[in-house]
Amino acid sequence: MAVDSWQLSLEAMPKAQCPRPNAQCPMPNSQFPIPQIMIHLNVKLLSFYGISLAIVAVLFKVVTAYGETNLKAPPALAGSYRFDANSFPECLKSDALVLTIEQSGVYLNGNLRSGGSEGDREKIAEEKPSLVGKWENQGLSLSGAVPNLAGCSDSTAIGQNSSVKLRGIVDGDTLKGKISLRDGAAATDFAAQREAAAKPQKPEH
Amino acid sequence: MLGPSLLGLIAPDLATALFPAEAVPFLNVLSEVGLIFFMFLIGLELNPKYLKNNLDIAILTSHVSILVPFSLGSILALLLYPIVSNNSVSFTAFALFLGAAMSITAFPVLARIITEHNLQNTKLGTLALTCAAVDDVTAWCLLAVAIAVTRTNSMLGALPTIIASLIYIGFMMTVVRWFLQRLSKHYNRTGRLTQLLLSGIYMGVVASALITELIGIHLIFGAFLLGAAMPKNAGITRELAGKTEDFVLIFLLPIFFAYSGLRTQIGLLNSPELWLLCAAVLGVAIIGKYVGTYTAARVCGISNREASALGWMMNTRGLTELIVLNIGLSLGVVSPLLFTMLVIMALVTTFMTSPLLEWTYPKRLIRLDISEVNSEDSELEDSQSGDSSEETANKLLHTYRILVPVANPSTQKGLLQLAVGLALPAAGTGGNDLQSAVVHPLSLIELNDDYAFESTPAEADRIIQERRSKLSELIDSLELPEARKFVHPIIRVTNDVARETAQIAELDRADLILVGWHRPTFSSNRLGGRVGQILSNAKVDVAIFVDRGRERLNNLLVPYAANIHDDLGLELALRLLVNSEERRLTVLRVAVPGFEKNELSYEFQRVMEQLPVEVRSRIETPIVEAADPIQAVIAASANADLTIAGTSREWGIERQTLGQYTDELAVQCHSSLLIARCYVKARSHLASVLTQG
Repeated sequence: MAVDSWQLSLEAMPKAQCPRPNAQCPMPNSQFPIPQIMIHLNVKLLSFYGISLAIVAVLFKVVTAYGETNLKAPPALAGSYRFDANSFPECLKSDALVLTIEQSGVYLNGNLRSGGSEGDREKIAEEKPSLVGKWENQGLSLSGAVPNLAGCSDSTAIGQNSSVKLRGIVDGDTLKGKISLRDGAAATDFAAQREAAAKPQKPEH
Repeated sequence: MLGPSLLGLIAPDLATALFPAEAVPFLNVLSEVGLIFFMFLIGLELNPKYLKNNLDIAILTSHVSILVPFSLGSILALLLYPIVSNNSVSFTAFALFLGAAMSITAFPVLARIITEHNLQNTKLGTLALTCAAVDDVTAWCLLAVAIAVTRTNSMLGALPTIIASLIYIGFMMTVVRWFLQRLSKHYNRTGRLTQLLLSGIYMGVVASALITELIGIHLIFGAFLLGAAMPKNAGITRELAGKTEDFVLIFLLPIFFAYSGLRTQIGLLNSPELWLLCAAVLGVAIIGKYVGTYTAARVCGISNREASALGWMMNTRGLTELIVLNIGLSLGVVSPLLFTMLVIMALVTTFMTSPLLEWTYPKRLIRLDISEVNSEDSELEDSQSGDSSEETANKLLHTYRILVPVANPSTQKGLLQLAVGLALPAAGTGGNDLQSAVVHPLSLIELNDDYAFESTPAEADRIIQERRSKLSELIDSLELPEARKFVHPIIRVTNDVARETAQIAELDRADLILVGWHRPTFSSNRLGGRVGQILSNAKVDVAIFVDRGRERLNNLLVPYAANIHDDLGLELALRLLVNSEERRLTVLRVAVPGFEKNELSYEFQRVMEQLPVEVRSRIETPIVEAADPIQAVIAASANADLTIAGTSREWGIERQTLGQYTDELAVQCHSSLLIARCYVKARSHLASVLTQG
């Protein structure tokens, strides 16, 4: 019985054609033994199959109902935020200070640098993040080095970069909070606007 | 996959230079193109004949093997969603996608693992293939639903996409398939795939991919569908795969891997808590798939060991999982951190399959399965049969077995003739039991390309049959009517010829591996290359035959320096001598002036005493004096048909550091040469001939 398509016959082959139960019987025009189609509509198997499907369907319904109602994921934060940084102290003072945030749920990574052109910003998005932090208590915190910020790397010893701490809350497309350079330094208030064009997690398809 | 992360860690500047940010979008485009054509190839090789074995069991097993990890994945989503996702993704889409990612079994990868383990014709292998094929089709459907739900963020919103997809699948499997059948008939008439035809098919692939993208699922489904709808005409499939896969597998697929690697940021797993989450993902994936498969298989009446092996095999996620994850990351439903965890899960579950399969279902049992299926080919029919009587078992234990790796059947008649000469019943001692010795010509088919069409089970089987008929021709060319009774070929697929040869020799309890000499590609050493690898790996005695094309091997010369390798050489020579009354043996001892005389060993003298007088009368044991033993042997070899020398320093065939052998005698010897390397000190090369004496 040559089956040449996905349409499978439910008829079992006559057993006489196959000498042993487990043996594979050669088929006409085939170069190697091809097993025949054997579909036994066994009640036990069908019930097992049906019960399994039903249990999973119910389980998925219950789980999704619970998840949709009770679970709250953090807001989508990923993207580039442009600061008005003229009021910032020391090396943070820049015409176009950009914070790029990459988000994996509550875990955040980012970069802070002065970025003017679109090309620069794309480059920032691909660079290894130097800031790490988390979303907790309805606010974000990020801290780390700022190796890419002009002037900041010269402010301390050779090979060291200034460390930045940033805490804020998100209100729509605005990120507000406090930023401080080096431990113990006074924190400065900031407000940054999300740039729509640079949302990295926008679906590509 | 983890290369870019590792490179970024140890040489960040080099990583940036190799993969500049500007190049990433281009890599993305190329990887998508590669993916489209790769999916077309996967669809093309998904042959309905894989669905012909125990389809009821396969459907149940593979669907339960999807349901259990899918359920566990959905439950795990309750833990992961608040931690690694964000509110732009609905929980339903997240749970659906995570469940789908946990349920994947990579049919193309599993098919190749089955081929590599030579399982394709066993009960377990055919069942695993059917399960994987069913799983593959089901998982792609599940993924299409997950994508539709992700894009619309609700089950209801996804309905139009799902309905449109079903209509398109129906269209492809009826109208397009009907048209493609005509194409197949056209191919049968012309016998070749013209460039015009090929360009038409490629345009069809791209068009189908774009249609599924427009419908709202993904590019890859259209390409896969067209591949699956292609008529499974062996000629057109082989030619189409051959023409397409080289560029896709060599150029485009590595770009997909590089691009996926660039998106995998192992550095994101930067705390023990995250590694614990990663372990949870891994645990759920492995346990879900294993338990689902095992339970369903047991319910279907599959044996404990086979169900377990099936459970490990269905855990193979491989490339299919990477494709799914990349789609998830692009859609934003999978965050970079979860992507990294799932990539690790995909890699671990894929790489663990082979060792766990070997642990659950060792090669010894696989070979029993193969011999059960192939008993009509009498391959290994006389080995390891479980129900044989004690007498038969005892006889089998004493069967003298020679394994003869045959790379090219058309050029190795001399090698097989020598093996038959060594194995033939002891004519000189009156023995006539053909079962007392067996020659196994071993033909190993090496498959190097991971995803190549030739490594699919069906294609590998075709190659095996082709090789089998060539070996049969070789055996027939010996013009020895009884050869079929004791020459049983073994044909296997492998990815390491030397190691597989050693393993088969061990499993088969071979007494000797007789290998022909091949000139290594990158070395002039005759004992380098693959022969050298076999010498290093084999845990049985090995003899290397350097054939000088002598028609008859009547005059035998054994240079003897009383070491274990020379003793082996001598035993082989005695086997040849006993097996033909026309043969004469010269055991040459070389006395170097100023050194102690080279005496025959006690064992040798005992063996001589046991030999019949008629055989003993054909042995000479001269001693020659020479300053350079090698030159003395070379001179003596001019009068011999076959020189048999042990791998000893005296004959310039010595094992050096790094396992390399020197080959002085092999270069200069006038006659054919058999180099003997002894591994087992307590040998039985003469047992079967002496007991008959």
